[in-house]
Amino acid sequence: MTTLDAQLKKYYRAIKRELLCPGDTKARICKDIENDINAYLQENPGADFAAIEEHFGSPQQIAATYVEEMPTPELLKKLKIRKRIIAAVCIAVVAAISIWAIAIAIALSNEYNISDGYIETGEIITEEWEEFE
Amino acid sequence: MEKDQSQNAFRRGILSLVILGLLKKEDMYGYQLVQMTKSLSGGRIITQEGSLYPVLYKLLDQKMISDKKVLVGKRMTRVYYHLEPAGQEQLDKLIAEFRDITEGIQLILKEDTP
Repeated sequence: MTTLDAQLKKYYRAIKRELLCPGDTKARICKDIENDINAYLQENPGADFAAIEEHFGSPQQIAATYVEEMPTPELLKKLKIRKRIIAAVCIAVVAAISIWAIAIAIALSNEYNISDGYIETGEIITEEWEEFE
Repeated sequence: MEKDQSQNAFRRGILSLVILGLLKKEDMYGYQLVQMTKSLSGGRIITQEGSLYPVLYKLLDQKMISDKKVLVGKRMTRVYYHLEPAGQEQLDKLIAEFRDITEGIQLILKEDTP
């Protein structure tokens, strides 16, 4: 694999990360852009990665122009889904922390009750010695 | 890679017209559509792959254009897009709308000039 191939692979991965659309659409767009880059390289055989990125745009630029052309209802739907996912993750994290805190509190309380109101502060170790004859 | 942000809103929506208009001349692949848009418009309309593909996919879904893969060389494939009858109808509608709007704008601008 040449350096250019490796750079292009990284470029396509970055485009997929930036695009705001379903996974199959991302794959489709990347494949189409790959075909376009091959067509560009046929016309410009000596082009390096910098020239390719200059011509086609950075992954962020490609994603931004994609979003500009996206139908508004689809874009709003995507944004709503993202908001819901973020909200669900936050709720799950808060719930997990709460459950953990309650479990710790119950465990400490049980420990306190078993000890009849006493709290262990240290441990006394006794050893038994055997007398040798 | 500079883009005039002030023209974005104006360009948005005319891309369908541009693509259908180009495909009326001949079947083209994605990169060719971008290049021809720039050269035939005298550099006035510059589009990018990121903007082109959502419009192409929408036109494909609406069956206004069709696509076919053509093997180029040993391993490379190109996807050529072709104008369908429904696309021709849509193109005629868009051209009529475009002429209407342009006339309206010209009348407004004519009124403004002293």
